[in-house]
Amino acid sequence: MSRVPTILCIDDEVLGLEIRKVVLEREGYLVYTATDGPAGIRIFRQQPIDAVVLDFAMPGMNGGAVAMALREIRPNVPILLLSAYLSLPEEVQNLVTLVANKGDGALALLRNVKRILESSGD
Amino acid sequence: MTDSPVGLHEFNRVVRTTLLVPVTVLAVLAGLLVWQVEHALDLRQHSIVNTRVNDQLLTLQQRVTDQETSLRAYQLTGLPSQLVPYNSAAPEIEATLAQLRNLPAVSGISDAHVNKLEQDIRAWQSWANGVLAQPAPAPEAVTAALTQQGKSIMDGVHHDFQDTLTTAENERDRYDAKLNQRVSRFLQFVLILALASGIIIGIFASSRLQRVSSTYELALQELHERNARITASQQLLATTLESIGDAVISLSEQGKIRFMNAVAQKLTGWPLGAAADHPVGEVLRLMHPQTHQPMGDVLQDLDRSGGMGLHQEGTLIARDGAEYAVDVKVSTVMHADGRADGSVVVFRDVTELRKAEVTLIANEKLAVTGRLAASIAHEIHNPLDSVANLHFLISQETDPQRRSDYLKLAQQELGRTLQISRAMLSLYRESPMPVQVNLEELIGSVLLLLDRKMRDQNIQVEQSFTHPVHVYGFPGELRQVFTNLIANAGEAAGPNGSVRILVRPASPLDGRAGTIVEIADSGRGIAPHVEKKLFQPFMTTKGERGTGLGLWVSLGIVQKHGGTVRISNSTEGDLRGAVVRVYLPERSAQAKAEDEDHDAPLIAPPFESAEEWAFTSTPRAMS
Repeated sequence: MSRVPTILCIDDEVLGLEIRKVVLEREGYLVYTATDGPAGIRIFRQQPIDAVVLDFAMPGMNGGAVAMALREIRPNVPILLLSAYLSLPEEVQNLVTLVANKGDGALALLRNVKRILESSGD
Repeated sequence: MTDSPVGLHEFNRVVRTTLLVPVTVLAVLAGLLVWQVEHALDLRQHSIVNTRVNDQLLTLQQRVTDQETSLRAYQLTGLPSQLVPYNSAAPEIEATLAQLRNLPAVSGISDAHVNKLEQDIRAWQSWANGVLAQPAPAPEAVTAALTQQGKSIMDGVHHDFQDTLTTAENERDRYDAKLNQRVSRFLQFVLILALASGIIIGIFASSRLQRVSSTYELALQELHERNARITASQQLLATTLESIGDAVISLSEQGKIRFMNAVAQKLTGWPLGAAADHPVGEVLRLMHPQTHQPMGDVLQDLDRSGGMGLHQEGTLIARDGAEYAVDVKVSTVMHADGRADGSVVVFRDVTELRKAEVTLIANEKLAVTGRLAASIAHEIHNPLDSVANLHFLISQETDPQRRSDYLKLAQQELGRTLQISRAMLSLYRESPMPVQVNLEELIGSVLLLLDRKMRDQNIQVEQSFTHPVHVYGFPGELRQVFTNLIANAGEAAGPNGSVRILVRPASPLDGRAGTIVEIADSGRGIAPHVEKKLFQPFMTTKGERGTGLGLWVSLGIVQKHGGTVRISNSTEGDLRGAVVRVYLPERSAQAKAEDEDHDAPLIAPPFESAEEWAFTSTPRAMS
């Protein structure tokens, strides 16, 4: 992989989103952000996104719906779904590559992002 | 079926005819006897007349013989003195002859007989007078021829007498025979009649008695059947009353105890024998469930309710001091003709039910907690996630300005976490006494917790407070009510819907002073088949997501605060879904118990909407 991996972060929590962006950028990723599903999908269509970090609970269109839309565009895009809820419905979990809890810390986030990028295998 | 046994009328009728027929027969018999006796007496009269005629004839004969003898003696002696009997007999002969001429027809002596006799007597007398008209002859001069002449005339007279007497005797004999015959026939007649009457009466009486006996038998049988039916029906009623799980007390019009079934005796601790004729208040001692003050007479509201069943709940203090939570219903006993006859008190031990309700309420509290926990976890995890990430950045950052910025952000996010955790805690931080509650603050904190949920669904929440509103109550419970109602409204509104919360003081038109919280949504309103059941426990329109206890518990809490909950479908304005109006009185919880003692009606505020369901029943035992 010659170029810098590009990550799309979608979360309605603006502050959390910005902080997450800084953490990922410090690790050397190129980060795009969107504060709702439709905006994220738009960016996903326009940019060569390698992985998506997606919040589950969002107004209007939740993480599950966004993941489904992204997978329709690119069926094997790696998606990390972040959730504050302890357990998500199984059908939602099956839509994404990995599910992680919010609040586990930056190291866990970076580890998970790395994991899903590697799992995509290309 | 008549009231008296059919047999009894028949029985009386039969007895009457049984008495009447013999009396009639005997009366007829007596009439016949009298008639016969009259007849016999008539015959007897004939006999008497005959005897008298006989006597008269014999007397006449005697007198005529006397004259003959006297004349003969005169002829023989020539002495005028010998003629004295002759002369003295003459008037008697005349008188007797006169009597014979006037004989009644019944004598059997015909006029021909009497005339012949008289004629012959007169012939002899004229002959005798002829003899006497001549100068008295010398005795020796009396010739045999002369004597013979008189004797032959006299023989004729005697022959007449003999003839007449024989006739009279024959006549008498004939009558006597007739009388005898009649008497004997009469006796036969009486005998036969008596026999016939006896037989008739006997047969009749026996047939009647048979009927009486069979009628009596029937009546008796019917009576037995009736008794059996009544006994069976009594048995059934008694068994039913004893078997039902509810306690039943029957009261006289004066409110004295007439009957108690086994359950009532067991619950009150009063055996029927001891309780009978006691005023109901002595046996059924009811306390107010919350205040534990005596509730007063269960009958006092009966008149007001028009005799219909009246529901009350209370705590029953048994004779041994045991306490039971009871539901009491009193109704007037009405006869079919509309006459009131005392009343009946039905009550049941709901202690277990109350306990179950308390458990249900606790369950709902847990369910609400569970639902909130999810949203709280979300609320807390978001800032915590930022804080954790910031912590990483700070540890990596060397630029002081950046570190300071990160620290500030972390501080801010921690503050948010704290705020949410406080709101969460206050939901269950409950004081045992009602306190002053700022409704604006309370609803604000509820919205804070529900905010994420609403925003997820892009639901617009508008709130409007017309003035600072304070009520008196239990904040944790009120928060539970509004969490429930606002969350319901959000679910009803659905994605992209809206919810409007309006808090305003109750206007004088609304009734008592207080506050009204209106929660309107843009959903589809309440379906008709659901409306009646809205406030029932386990009623849910949300499938497995709902416990079905939310509204039920909410209503209980509001009622505990002296308020009411009304749900209607909005027919005006831009939000055409359901509208929930919670009325909370100015003086609530604490004052409510006192109010109830004075039976102050909870005046529910009137609402403008036509379709409206008010719910003031069901949940109780809020603790």
